[in-house]
Amino acid sequence: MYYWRFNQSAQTLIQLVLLVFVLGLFLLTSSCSVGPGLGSKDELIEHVSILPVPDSPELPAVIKRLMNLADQQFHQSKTADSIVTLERAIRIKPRYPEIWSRMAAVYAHLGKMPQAKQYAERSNSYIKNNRPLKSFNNDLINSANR
Amino acid sequence: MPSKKRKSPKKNLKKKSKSSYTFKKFLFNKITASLSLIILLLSTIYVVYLDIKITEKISGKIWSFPSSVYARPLELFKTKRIGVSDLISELNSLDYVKVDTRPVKPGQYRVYNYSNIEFISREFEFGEGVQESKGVRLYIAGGVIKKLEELNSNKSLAVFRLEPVKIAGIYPKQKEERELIKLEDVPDDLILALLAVEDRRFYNHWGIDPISIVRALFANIVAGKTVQGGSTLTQQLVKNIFLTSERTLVRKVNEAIMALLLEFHYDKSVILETYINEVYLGQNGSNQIHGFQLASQFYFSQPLQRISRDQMAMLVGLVKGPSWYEPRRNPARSKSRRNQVLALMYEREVISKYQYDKYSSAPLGVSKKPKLSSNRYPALMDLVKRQLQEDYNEEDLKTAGLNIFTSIDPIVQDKAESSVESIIPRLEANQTQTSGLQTAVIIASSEQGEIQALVSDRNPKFSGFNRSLDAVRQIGSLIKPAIYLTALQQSDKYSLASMLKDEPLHIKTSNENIWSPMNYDKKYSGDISLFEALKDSRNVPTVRLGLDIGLPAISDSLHNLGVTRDIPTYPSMTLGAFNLSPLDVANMYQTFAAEGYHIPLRVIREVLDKENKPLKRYPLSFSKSLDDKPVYLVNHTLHQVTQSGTASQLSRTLSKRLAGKTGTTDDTRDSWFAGFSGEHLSVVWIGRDDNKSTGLTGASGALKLWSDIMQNLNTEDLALSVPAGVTEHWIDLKSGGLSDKSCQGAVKLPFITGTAPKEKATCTTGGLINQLKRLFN
Repeated sequence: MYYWRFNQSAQTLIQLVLLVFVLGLFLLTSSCSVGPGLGSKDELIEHVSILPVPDSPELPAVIKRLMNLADQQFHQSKTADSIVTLERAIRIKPRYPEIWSRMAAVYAHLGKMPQAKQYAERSNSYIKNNRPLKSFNNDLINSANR
Repeated sequence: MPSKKRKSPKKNLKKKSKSSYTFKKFLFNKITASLSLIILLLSTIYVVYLDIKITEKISGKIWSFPSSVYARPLELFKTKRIGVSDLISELNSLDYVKVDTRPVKPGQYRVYNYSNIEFISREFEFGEGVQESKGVRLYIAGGVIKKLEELNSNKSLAVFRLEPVKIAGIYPKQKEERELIKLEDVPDDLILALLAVEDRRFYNHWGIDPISIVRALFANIVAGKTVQGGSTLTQQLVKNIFLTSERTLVRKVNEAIMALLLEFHYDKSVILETYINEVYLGQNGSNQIHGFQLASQFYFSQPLQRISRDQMAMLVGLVKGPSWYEPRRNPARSKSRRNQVLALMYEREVISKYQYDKYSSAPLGVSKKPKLSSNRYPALMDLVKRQLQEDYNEEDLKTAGLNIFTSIDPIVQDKAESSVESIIPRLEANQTQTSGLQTAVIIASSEQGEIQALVSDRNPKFSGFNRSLDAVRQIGSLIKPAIYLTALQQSDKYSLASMLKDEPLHIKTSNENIWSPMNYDKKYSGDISLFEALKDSRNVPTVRLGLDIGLPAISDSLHNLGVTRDIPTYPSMTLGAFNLSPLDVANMYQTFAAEGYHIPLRVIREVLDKENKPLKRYPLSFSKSLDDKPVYLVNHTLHQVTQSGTASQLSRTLSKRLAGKTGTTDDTRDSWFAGFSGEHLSVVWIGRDDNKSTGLTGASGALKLWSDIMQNLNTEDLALSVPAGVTEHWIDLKSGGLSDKSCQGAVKLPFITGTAPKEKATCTTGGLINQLKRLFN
């Protein structure tokens, strides 16, 4: 009887330890998966606001102008106008990944992650050699997949 | 005892008669009173009825507003490819006036030294806000904008968006057009001129003005004819909105009552504003021009706030008789009337003597008559209406004054139309047995799937059967890219170097018949690479391949490419023996043009309400329906079709990188070409409505028209992105083995990494000359 009681307590203790271990493991893995990229919506907003218009000579003036205008509209909370402006840019020069990526960011800000993912993927398809942009897009895609 | 006096019978009669008279009088009074009461009651009911009629109308929806359909706004920027003539055509479509000196007013342009254009744009309200008028200077050379700057400051402009051309209106039965203006936005001078001429005591009467009536009566008696009217603005408004223009007493009485009621219920400013927006001021074809704001646009191509006082006087003068004083038809009469108005304005001290002299000697300054926009592009408008009807009911489209912004490009549309008008008769002339050819053309942007142009008849202005949308015809070899795509998706089994058998083939069909597909040239080439079979559009290897990969898999691929119709799964479907419309084909090839992204073709970008507030946007939407690697392999081959395949004539006629596929059906009933550049996707069909033979293959018919359109469009080169996981190798096409650049017959082909052939082909160099040739190629 005594032996049985001891056995039962030990079993409970083991179960408790196991539970704490699993819980810790879960917390650890989930914090790792959020990582340094785009986790919460707020982080997304911050990311969008800090993404500067590249000062690359390869980027035509018309695209820089429209991307700046879209940023301005975005910061004034005119996200619908910002999308319209970025669509204008896409119509003019559809093969610049910077525009598609920006569009992805605006959709992410609106919480429309499926669209954000599609735009980020399309941006990736036009990137030739731009690691930071690819990484930004991949962060968005990962966020959307979560 | 006094005797009783007997009443004399006469007296009796008199008395009797008096009482009868009193009774009659009583009866008469009673009837009169009753009748008066009834009349009063009926009159009251009638007045109440009129009152309800007025308040319902004025407080509710007074007018129907037709919807306006706009083309895409033309974006101008450095490096944009556009010819001087294209830009002039756009400005003319916007009814800009050509001037010889530097433009000073919005809506003016000039061209100097052949390639410099200056213009002042008009203000325009887009969904995201008002775009102010701006002076712009461009320098165009070699069909490209080299310089874009502000007209006054010479400051460089990164981009400028012209206001869009209004290409059509969607009208109710009675074609009334008007643009509303608020009273506070109406220039004071126009109001003063209007009141001076039409109702100088407007602010001093209650709807009818006895003084004006007496004055008009006196003036008319003196003149011996009608020279003046006594109707107030309120009476005119009542007549315009509620009554007819018949000259009867009943109408006049109704007009007076309703005018009084109107004044009783509404403030003078409401009545004046309604009048200014209601008054009829001209006719544009079958469309009636109502209100001063639209009239100002119609006669001067300027908003009301921008026109001069003499122009205001001309508009006010039109109120008396818009047809009689029509300034474009009767300039002298219109000028004389304008000067009468100016004289009244001077008399009422609205203008000074100096201004009167100056304005009355000024020319009318009327602009070019705007083009009728209701039927400019009938087939395109049909598509626009069909897409709109998914979200709006017909009544709203005709009456709610929606502003519909589309992707229609008038420059592209006009070029497509002119190509159709020149090429179709030429094809008939070259083919002695061919007549009665018909055609359908669809042009969209390659990357965004926005329809820019649509032609559905050899006479593009003909509004009838819309072949682009509704003519379902066999597609022939246009199916082949879908079959090869399906095969290349099975990358462990197929690559572009895989060999197919091009030998006689006999297939037992479900009804126990034998079907023996043939190549177009009736020859067989033995073994042929998958790349060459597609490039040269070989039928027999394609059927073999189709049967091997499975007909349902091909049907799935077609759906992934964007075809929404049911696809039959019988063997001859591998040669396109099933029906699709040109729009279906365009949807299918759009997915190739967008490198695997399926974008449903669309024509509407945005719908705004009457006050230009956004109602609905149709943003760019797409889905990745296919792996980009096999799509790239097919696109690479479709490019080779235009270099050395069935459409190789394109490499000689156009110095552009393009991709596309020819299609011909049995007995040359249908001639197709579907292809794309880096900028445009275009599908062309040529055939006959009675489905008889045309004698034209895809290459000898549709391709000629496609080529002409693309040449005129000065389209951008095809630029395919090589997806990650695709590598190129030199291949010997005869054996399908690996080769080397220096080997004869070697062709560089793309492969999904790890799928290139392992075996090496025997290399023959073909001599020094051939080696040198390959080196330079």
